[in-house]
Formats: sequence, structure tokens, C-alpha cells
Amino acid sequence: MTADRAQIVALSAGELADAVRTGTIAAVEAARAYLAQVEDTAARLGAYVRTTPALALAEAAAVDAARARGEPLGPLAGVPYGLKDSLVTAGVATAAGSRMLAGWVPPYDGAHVRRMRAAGAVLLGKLALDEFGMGAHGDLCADVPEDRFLDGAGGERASEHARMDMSGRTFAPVRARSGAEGGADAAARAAARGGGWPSGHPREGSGRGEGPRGAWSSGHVPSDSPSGAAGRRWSGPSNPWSSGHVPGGSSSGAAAAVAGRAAAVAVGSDTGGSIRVPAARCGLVGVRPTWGRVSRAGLVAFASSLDTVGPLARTVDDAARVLTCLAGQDDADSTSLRAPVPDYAAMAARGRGDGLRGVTIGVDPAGLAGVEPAVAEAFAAALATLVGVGAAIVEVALPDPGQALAAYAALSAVEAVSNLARYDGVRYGLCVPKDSFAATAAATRGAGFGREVKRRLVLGAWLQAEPELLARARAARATATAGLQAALAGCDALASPTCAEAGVRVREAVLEDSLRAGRALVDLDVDRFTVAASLAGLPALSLPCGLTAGPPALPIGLHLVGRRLEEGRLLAIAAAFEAATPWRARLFAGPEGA
Amino acid sequence: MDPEAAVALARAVLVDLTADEARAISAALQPVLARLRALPDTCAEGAPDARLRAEQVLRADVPGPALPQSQALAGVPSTTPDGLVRVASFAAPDVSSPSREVGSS
Repeated sequence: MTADRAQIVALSAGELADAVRTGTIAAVEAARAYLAQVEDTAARLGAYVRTTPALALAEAAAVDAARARGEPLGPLAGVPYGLKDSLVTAGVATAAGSRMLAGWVPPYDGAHVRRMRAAGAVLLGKLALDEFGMGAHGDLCADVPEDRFLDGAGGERASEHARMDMSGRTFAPVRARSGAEGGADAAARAAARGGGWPSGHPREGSGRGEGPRGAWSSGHVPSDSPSGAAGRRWSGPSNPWSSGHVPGGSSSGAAAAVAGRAAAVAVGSDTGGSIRVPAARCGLVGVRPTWGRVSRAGLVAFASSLDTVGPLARTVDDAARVLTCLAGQDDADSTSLRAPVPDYAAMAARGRGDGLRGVTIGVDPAGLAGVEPAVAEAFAAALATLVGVGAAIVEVALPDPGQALAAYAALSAVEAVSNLARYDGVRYGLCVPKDSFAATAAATRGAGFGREVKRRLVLGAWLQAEPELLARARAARATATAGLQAALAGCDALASPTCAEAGVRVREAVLEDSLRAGRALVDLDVDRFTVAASLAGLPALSLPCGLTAGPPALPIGLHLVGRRLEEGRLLAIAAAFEAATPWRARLFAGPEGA
Repeated sequence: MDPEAAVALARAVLVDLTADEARAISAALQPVLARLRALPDTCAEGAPDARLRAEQVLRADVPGPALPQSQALAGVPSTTPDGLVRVASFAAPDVSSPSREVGSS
């Protein structure tokens, strides 16, 4: 890294935009610095599935030209960012982490790239994610970056399957992916027997595993994931803080890129925790806005009553600036809200300056059972910090997370059945031609969807034949919503850890089916603290609240939930907390201490 | 849910499963189904109806600018020489009819 590049990537997005506006740094200079970062970190992080260097330089040049003409610049002028690859981009392939859409080039821009461009931001590329946003760890991406293939020609690229002529003239059979099997991981098996926390830290005592989650109990890499350049399975980005721990998902590439200095900020999506969990795992600020606050036009849909789009950033101020640009009514999304958009950055600044006198924060002590001790300690310290800047802590009773998790699993699966029905071998991407439409669709979807997607579709199909259980799930969602609203009637925000564990170790082993069942439950429980706000459509965010002692030092997230459309209040609380945190500089510097 | 039921359910939503996938998915869903069955059989009292919103979000369709056909269909896997979407026959009843009769494990 040159000194100039080091100086540029050390700036927050807000500082960088200010420097571009004043002419201290040219937007093209910032773009070149970040493009070099992207290239240098590609092998280590695997955050991007596609980079757009020519587009980035063109957008940056347009910003510089506008400044030269004396035109006013947008609030994110010259800020290089990455976009989760489930957000469509005209002329830039968008695959949503799936073989099903590999090679598909959208004919239009989604709301998010349009709004970021209008704000002056510069697109560096598309970021890896768990397939269709279905994953909590960031290890279920089936859209593999080119440099991760065993053969440089990309002989197994899924995109080669994307254009099969149904007439059969150019049909090429779908080849099964192959790859080196990872060896059995003794630590994984030890954890499966209850030997430790998912982070790899030893579990003290034998009877401390109370609470809704058990020990990590399955392997990590799905058997259908492709092979990487090193002969190892590649299934998603790495956590910049520890290559031995997952980055969290499903906005895994977004978190890895921002934490690894390969983007100043990123735009992700959150259905059950897909912005907040990776933000927590990678030491970032991640905001899930109120459902409808940000347009979903151009988001590859997973579960429409839950899907939201929001920012991942290194500071509260940066997240607030991006949210201000993204938020607002959009004619292309009838569910987007017409409520006016406040200046979130200004609200955060007021919180930072004024403190939290008069602010009440609710905590449910019963919800902390089974939390890893390092997380519990960090959370207790976070509460003390909040009190130190003027907040009052009150006890509240929150909805049963087990019921909320079950409701989420059911309702998101049923909605996924509908949303993914469009991938039939006729309208988009992959096609495996057969004699009939139904056979074509079944073969295409069988070849194009990964195992986790199929699991959720099977669950959704099963529930469609179980209306009584589906009704229970809807009732549980209503109960969770009412519970959060009741709790928020007596306080300004709710606080908890973002995740119960300090990290989840990468697994290289493919274990037996009996252990896969444990994996499914663990995946459910990762969203234990995040999913209720999703069900209720309320705003929530995660921000760093500490590091484990290590090694490796792993970030820990603080989760805040607010009332509908009160993102600004949450950001003000977060900013006050961030300013009072003694280790903020350490987290802002990132894993490398840049 | 046994693996055979998983295969049938997958076919109901037009997804072919291999035997290995069916076994894995069947096993993975067991604890999830147990949790769903454990949900209380009571309705939430006083819970807001998610369908009721203070704001009318539906609007009338308004014709607007549209993409040219060639651009709109550029991502279609297979098209006819005159640019229309190619779809295989809908007549063959080999997938959906039997599988939709399988509803639960």
C-alpha cells in the first residue's frame, strides 16, 4: 500500500466525501486507491464476485468533472462502495449468489445503485452473499469469483450452463461440481459433542449450556460447494478479523469488504439478520431500516414481508449518511413509505454531542441465558457505557425468541416458495431443457439451487399443506410484534447482544446427515436476537461493543431495536455509545490496525 | 418427514432432488418441524393485523416508459428466431400431478 492509498482508506466515508468536495482528494484518486485495495485483498477476503473498475473510474471522473464545473456534489461524492449481488445493476451481472442466475445481466438499475450514484458514490463491484440471502454464516455462496476456480479458464463456471437452447442444438449437459473434500475437523466434532462455543472458545463447566441454543454441532461447508483455487472448497468470503471464523451472512461480502478496507461502505440486505449478523462478526455498524423505509425495487426477493435494504459501514456517521441517501419513497416499490426522510447523520451528530440524558433503554435479562461469557461481559460493559453517557436502563420482558425463530423459519420459507418460483428455466439464467415445462423447471431448479435453498423450499412446500401450523406461525409473528411494541412503549430502544456467540468457526468437514440437523438448528439460532425486529418490521442496528481477548480478537456486536421509523433515534444512541467507547479507535482501524 | 416425502414435496415446487440431497434435507428439517409443531395453538390477542396499514400503498397502474423487447428479454435462456420466449410443452403431466398429493410426513 502506498502512503497515499493508506491515507485514503484510513478515512471514514464522511471524511472522504468532505475531502472530495473540497478538492483535497480527487474522486478518481480515491477510486484508484480502493480498486488497488480490492485487487490486493481479493485472494484473502473473496469479498467480491464481480468488480467494476471501468465503471468505478467513470463514475469517479464524473464526480471530478462536476466539481470542476462548479456543480454541487452529492453527500457521498467520490465514496467507493460495494453492492450486495442481490441488488440489480444494469449491464453488470447479478447472480444473488446462485448458479441459477449465474451470467444473468439485468436490463435495469435497482433503486439502490441509482440512489448511490445520485449521491456521488462510486461502485467498485458486486459483493458475495449466501445464495438468495439464505444463510447466517456467509458460507453458502454458489457464485464463485473467477480467481477461485481450479482451472484459470473457469471450466466449471456455472455461467456456462446459463445459456442452453431448449431446442437442444447447443445443449451441454450440466456437470456436477467436484472438489477436494475437506478433512474431518476434530474441533468441529468436539464442539458437536458439547465441547466448546462456536467461536472455538472452551465452554466452562458442564452445565452451562442453558438457553435455547446448543453447541455447534455440524460441519460448515455444504457438499455442493465448488472448489477454490487452492484446492479447498470455496463457499464464501473470509472474515478479515480471523480466517478461521465466518464473516456472518448473508451480507458476507459486504462485511468482509468494508472491514477489510476493500470498500468505504457497502449496501446489503437484511431479512432475518443478514446485515446485522455480519456487521457484528466483522466489527461494523449495520442498519436494518424500518420495513418500507428503503425501496426494494431491484432487490432479488427472498421473503418480501421481511426483506429490507440498508448500509454496512465502519462508523455510525457513515451508516447514517448512506441510509439518508437510500431512504425514501420510490414509485418502483409500492411498499416504500412516503414518510419524510430526516438527516440521519445530523441526528447521529446530536446524539454524539448531547449524550443520552433522558433516553431509556430496555433490556430483558432472561434473554441473556446461554450467551457466551465473552459476549455477556462485553454486553454488560456496553450497558455501563450507555449509563455513563446518561441513559437509563430498565428491565423489559421480550417475546420468546424460540417462537420468533420458528415463525421466521416458517414464514420466510413459504414466501421463498413464491418468490423463487420465477426461476423456471424460461425467464432467467440457467435452463436444463427437457420435454415439458414442468420437467424443464424441475431439472433447472434441481441443478441451479443449492442445498440450503432446496431445504427451505421443501419446508415451504410442506407448510403449504399444513395450514394449521402456518396459522400458528402467523400468530407467533403477531405475538412477537405485539411484544416488541409493548416493550418499546416504556423505553426508547431495546438492547441485547447481536449474536450469542463471539464467532463461528469455519468448518472444512462434511459431516453426517445427523449432524446436518444440528446445523439447521444452529442456523436458526444465530438470528436469536435479530429475528423479532424483522418479524415486527422495526428498525434495528448492530454496532461494535468490544473484542474478545483472543487470539484471534473477534468483534462483538451490540444490537439496538427502535420504534417504527425511529432510525434516527437509534443512530443517535449508537453515536453516543460509539463516542464513549474507549476501543473505538481500535475497531475503526480494523483487523490490520491500518 | 422421510426422504421420499422430501422428494415429493420438492417436486411439488418443481425441484429435482438427488437421493443424497433428500436424505440430508430430511434430516435437517426434523428439528425445525419439531419446533414448528411446538408453537402454541393460540392466537395472539391484541396483536396488530399486519395487513392493516395507516397508509394506502396500492396505486393504479400507470403506463410508463418500457424497455425494448430485445433488451427486456436479453436474459431469457432461449428465444425463438422472432425474439419470443421459447417454452416447452405444458402438456406432459409427469411432475406436478402425483407430487401434489403428498402433503406431509
